[in-house]
Amino acid sequence: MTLSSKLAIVFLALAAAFAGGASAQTAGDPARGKTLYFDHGCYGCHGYQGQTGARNLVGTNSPIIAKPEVFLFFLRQRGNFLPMIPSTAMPRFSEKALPDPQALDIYAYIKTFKLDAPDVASIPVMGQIEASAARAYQAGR
Amino acid sequence: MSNDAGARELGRRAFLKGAATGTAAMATAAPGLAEARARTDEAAAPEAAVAAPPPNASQIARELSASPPASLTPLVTRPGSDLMVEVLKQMGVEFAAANPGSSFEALQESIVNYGDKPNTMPEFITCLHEETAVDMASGYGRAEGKPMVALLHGTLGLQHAAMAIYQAYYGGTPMLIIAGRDDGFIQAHTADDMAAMVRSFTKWDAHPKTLPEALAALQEGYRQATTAPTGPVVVVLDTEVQKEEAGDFAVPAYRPPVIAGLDAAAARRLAERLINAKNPRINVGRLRTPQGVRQAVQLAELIGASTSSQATVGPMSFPNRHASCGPGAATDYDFTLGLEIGPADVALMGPTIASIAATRDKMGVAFGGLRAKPSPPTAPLAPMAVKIGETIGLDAEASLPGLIAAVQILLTAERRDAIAKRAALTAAANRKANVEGVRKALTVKRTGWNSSPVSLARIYAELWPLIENEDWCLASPSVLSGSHHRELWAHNKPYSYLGLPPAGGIGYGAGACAGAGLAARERGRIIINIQTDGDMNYAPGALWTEAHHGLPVLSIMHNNRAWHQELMFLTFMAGARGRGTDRAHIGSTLRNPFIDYRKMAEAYGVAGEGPIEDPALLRAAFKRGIASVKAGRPYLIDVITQPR
Ligand code: HEC
Ligand SMILES: Cc1ncc(C[n+]2csc(CCOP(=O)(O)OP(=O)(O)O)c2C)c(N)n1
Ligand SMILES: [Mg+2]
Repeated sequence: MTLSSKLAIVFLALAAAFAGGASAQTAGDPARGKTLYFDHGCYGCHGYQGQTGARNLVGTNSPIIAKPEVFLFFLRQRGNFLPMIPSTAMPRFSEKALPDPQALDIYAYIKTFKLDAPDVASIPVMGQIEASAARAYQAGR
Repeated sequence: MSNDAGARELGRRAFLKGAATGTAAMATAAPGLAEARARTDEAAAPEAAVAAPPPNASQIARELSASPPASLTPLVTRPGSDLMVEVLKQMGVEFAAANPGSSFEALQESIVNYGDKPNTMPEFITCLHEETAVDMASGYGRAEGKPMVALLHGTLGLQHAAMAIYQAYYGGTPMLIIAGRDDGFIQAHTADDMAAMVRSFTKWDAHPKTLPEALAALQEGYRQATTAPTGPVVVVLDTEVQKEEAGDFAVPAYRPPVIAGLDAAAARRLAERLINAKNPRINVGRLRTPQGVRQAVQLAELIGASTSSQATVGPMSFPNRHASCGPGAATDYDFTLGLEIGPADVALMGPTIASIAATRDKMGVAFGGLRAKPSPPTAPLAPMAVKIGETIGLDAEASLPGLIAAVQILLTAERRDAIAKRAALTAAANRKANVEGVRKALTVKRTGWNSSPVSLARIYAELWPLIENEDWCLASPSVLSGSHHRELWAHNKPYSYLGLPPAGGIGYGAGACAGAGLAARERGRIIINIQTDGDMNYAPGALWTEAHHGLPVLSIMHNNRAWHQELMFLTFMAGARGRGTDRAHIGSTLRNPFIDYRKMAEAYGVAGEGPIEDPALLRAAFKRGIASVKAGRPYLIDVITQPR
């Protein structure tokens, strides 16, 4: 078992434990969170609106963003090791780098994200792309 | 003051005086001008590069009338460099890209002036940086499967070009590099063994000593560059050889390389197995030329095989929306033929594989001290679990004509019938798989559709209906912009997508697109360049070359205002160390100030617009861009993008 899969199991167990209780955290401020989301490079891997990049933060039922405690736990436990090769995996955000109040501001901001994309069927360009995929091959085209 | 110093001081004053009157003298004494400029053996001084160069001994001597001017180069009626151009013409070299340098002034003069149609075949392409010249040769070579020339000025030009040459070597990109060598002018520009500094990453080089040798070296260089393993070659040409009188020396005829393929018996054996297979498959990697691709299609159609392609990751592979391309109706392939598919893929093919993969071992060819990292040991395979296919170490493209001929002879009417039926089933299954794949991809690509900054998937999606009916070539590496063309676009041409920078070197994209633009301009094609901002800034002068030569390159900035890949690495690193994740932007972003790419384009003479942040504006902008490049004018659209 790899280190990261071990971490994942520990994490999921904890997430489940957190899942029951009421939130003990005070709510963060999404406006401050927006700045922090940029400053700490979250946008770099999740897009400015949480819709692009390494992992969507919208339209998921991830337990990680269901509760602030879980989110905080997730930030602290990630990637707590020095990479031997460069990595674009989700970094660790230690309390020193990103204290709880600020992290909660980011959490509040993330919670404002909405999937604003239209359905595929209502995007004309996507219809054209699909039609193009169905067209028979012609040599030289 | 010593005598020496005194003479120097005197000489310097006389020299400056001469310089002051020189202009007037030049204006009146036109006939003697060329001669006045002509260098003599001794007058050639390294000081020429400094603002007020001190005279050298021979100049001082002349100033003092101690010695008359050394004899001038006699008029040459048929310079060696004319014959060099003749050789390039014979081989069909369309372009010679260069940043000018006196070490090839004679050859440059011949290119621009010699022949019935001067400055064609090759046409002199002006570059602002040697890296661009060689990257252009890469873009052209990958699109066309044949070399153009990059001309480099001695040791300096070679060093500026080194990374680009390195990438061409990694990419197996055919190109003919000519390095000028002027021994006796500025010694720092010269080396005894000029090609040494790039020898470990070029396939072949030569330093001919005479004109006949030089012409032969150009021809051999072309053969080497185009014979597998294809790659960059260097020919060092001395100024003397370029300038010497050729007299009535005849230009030797060019003999194309003879590339070994399957012999007739082996072709027949393979043909039989393909014909008799119940469910044959042909896996196609990267062939050498468009002709090879056409023949692979012909073979697949004859056999009714399903095929796989690498056309979405690089050039010269099988058309990926061809009816045969895809998994087919059933995946129980009982005979798989690999064409230029590496050993890793061969291992996956099952027990009855014959691959005609030419050896492209980068270590094999004079690769100096560089070695690939050894792959980690793997667990031994269970006996009989996987049988690695036989690898026939021959050139696939050269083998195809014989294979096709054998199939044509052996195919019976009955087999043809069965094959036609199978091909129809394969086509239907592949079409279905393709449409389903695209449909699935679209549900993912739609996220961020309305986002500002603009989502990268939307850029690729909006482009497709606009270019589908054009003859297009995606010449920019696409991985940093998400490679969304892979699922959304059809890759049916040998040059649909030219692939990544072969060694991962950034700065390659802008030049490669300009080079692909050369091929495109001649063939009524347009170039799509999804241009990352980091890459653009290494050698942005490629934009001027596009404007100057009317290259149909549509550059769409993936402007995430960062070397974003590095920003992500750095954020992870800071996070792992538990500190300063808000400081990872230092040294990895292009902020404060932002770079205005529309203005950059304008400065270089390329029309453009932007920055665009509203995705609703993309379509109209793309239409304007496509209209512009179709009229032969490069165009740049700055788009502020999501980072990934
Ligand atoms: C270097 C890239 C990178 C950066 C920077 C980054 N993330 Fe992530 N993040 C990832 C990846 C990759 C995943 C998904 C896979 C994983 O769990 O490792 C992820 C997962 C997540 C998830 C869980 C999503 C789910 O569906 O379960 C959340 C929440 C999250 N990140 C928030 C953040 C926040 C907040 C920041 C900034 C403080 C941030 N990330 C910065 C790469 C990054
Ligand atoms: C010549 C060279 N220098 C540095 C690097 C390291 N490097 C890898 S990716 C990258 C960033 C590229 O930035 P950009 O082209 O804007 O693409 P982005 O990651 O921002 O999408 C750099 C600098 C490299 N690969 N090649
Ligand atoms: Mg960038």
